[in-house]
Amino acid sequence: MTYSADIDRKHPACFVFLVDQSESMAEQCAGAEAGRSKAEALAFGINGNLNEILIRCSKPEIRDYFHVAVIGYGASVHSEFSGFIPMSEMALRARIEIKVDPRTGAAAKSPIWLDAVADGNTPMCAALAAARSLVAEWVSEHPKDFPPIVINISDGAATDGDPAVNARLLTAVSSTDGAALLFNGHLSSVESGAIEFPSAAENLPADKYALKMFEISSVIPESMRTLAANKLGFSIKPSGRGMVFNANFQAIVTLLEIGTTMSGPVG
Amino acid sequence: MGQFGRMSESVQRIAKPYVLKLPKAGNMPAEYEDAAFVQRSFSGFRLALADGASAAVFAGAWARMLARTFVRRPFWTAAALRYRAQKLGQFWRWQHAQLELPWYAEQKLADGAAATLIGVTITLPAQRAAAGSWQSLAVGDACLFQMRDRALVQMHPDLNPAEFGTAPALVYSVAARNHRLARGLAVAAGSWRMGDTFVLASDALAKWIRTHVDSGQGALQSLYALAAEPAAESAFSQWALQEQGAGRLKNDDHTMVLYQT
Repeated sequence: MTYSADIDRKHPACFVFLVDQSESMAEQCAGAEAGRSKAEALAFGINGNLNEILIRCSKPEIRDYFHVAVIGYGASVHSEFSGFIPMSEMALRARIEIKVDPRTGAAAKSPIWLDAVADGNTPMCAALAAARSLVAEWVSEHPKDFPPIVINISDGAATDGDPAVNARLLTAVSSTDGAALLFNGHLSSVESGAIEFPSAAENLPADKYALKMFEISSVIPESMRTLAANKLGFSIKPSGRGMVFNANFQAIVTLLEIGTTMSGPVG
Repeated sequence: MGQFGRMSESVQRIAKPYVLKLPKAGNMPAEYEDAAFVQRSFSGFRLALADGASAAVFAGAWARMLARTFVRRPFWTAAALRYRAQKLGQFWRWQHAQLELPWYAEQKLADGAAATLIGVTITLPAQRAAAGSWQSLAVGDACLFQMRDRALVQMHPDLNPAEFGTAPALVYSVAARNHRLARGLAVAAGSWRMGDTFVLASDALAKWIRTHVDSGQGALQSLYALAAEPAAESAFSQWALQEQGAGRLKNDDHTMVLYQT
């Protein structure tokens, strides 16, 4: 059975976050997130998700069950941490801010790794190519371990070509436990009409970009669907793809959670 | 001789239960997060095994608290366990809050710890020829096996191999998370006769035992033999590595309490 390799310090797993930092990410979010830009909402979501992964690795010392890379794409395509870094190093790199809940007055420590950026075009193809290089190198060093998971969040179409080509190259990279997974999220400015984890192209609107995202998104493996149901109470159809389209911020957070929930208790 | 005298004599004829513990291969001994306790009581023995959820922080300490509290004062209802878990959970939180923890561990401490639990009281018969009785409490997938020669008399909880490891019921250190404990708790009872063997096992080992009991090949005898060896821990470790290497046993913390009457 694929996507079932044990994850521990000798056999870690990896995540790559591809973060759209193009100019249009300066637009305001809709709905509950109104009042902040998409770039701010996305940085907030990814920082929160990274914090959850880090907390999962705390026993209480950090055990390096996971390695993470963040690639931003906008005015340039750049790696936030110079490739993969283990979670123990992530802990050291966090900038801790004290956030006060305006309703309760309670203060909480909030780690920041990624700042909001909105500048330039959307070179998604180049970002996918950069992710492919990273995961190919990872798999060559971890040929039998849980395959890499790449989560791409954007608010628009690629401006540097057809992302399907590089997406295919990326998901062709395999360990003996399965092919690299590519999940995609489209962060919308509108509040309605979100499509989450579609299982067929017919479920989508006749929109070229939606169909392209469906084409390049991996089918969520059974083991991850089971964990999503057990841990997050989220039901996904058997051929559901790792894709949310025209999504509000909460659906993007769900995609991040499902994308990074790929193992039971690790140890 | 009165009732007390006969019972004491009966207890003295019974071999002591023994415990085998083995950390997950690749982990340090200090990272072992199961716990097992045995206590001799007026009427027999109390055995308990708890398996700390590896996703939690300080899970080994929580497992030790739960197993130890069961053998000291067994409990049989969800309400009693909830009450005991609440008191222990407060102590667990206080004890670890005294440590100087980094920010991420502080956040995780607030989530609490969790563990599965199997506990059994084995009551010895007043007379050697008579049957004894037992009662056990289970939360999750740590299991009790009552064996007679090569046959399984009773397993509690009665899980098939496919039912292990998928979101077992847990006892939490955070009281609010124990509201569904009544659904996850099971109590069983039975009788036993001299020569029966009781085995408590943590989940991966329990799955192995169930699989081999079902195959009817008497493979459990090899586990009894390991426990009888002078260097039992080392023999258990070698056996586990061999089974894990062959893909028949999951790499995990392994704990077994064995009581051959």
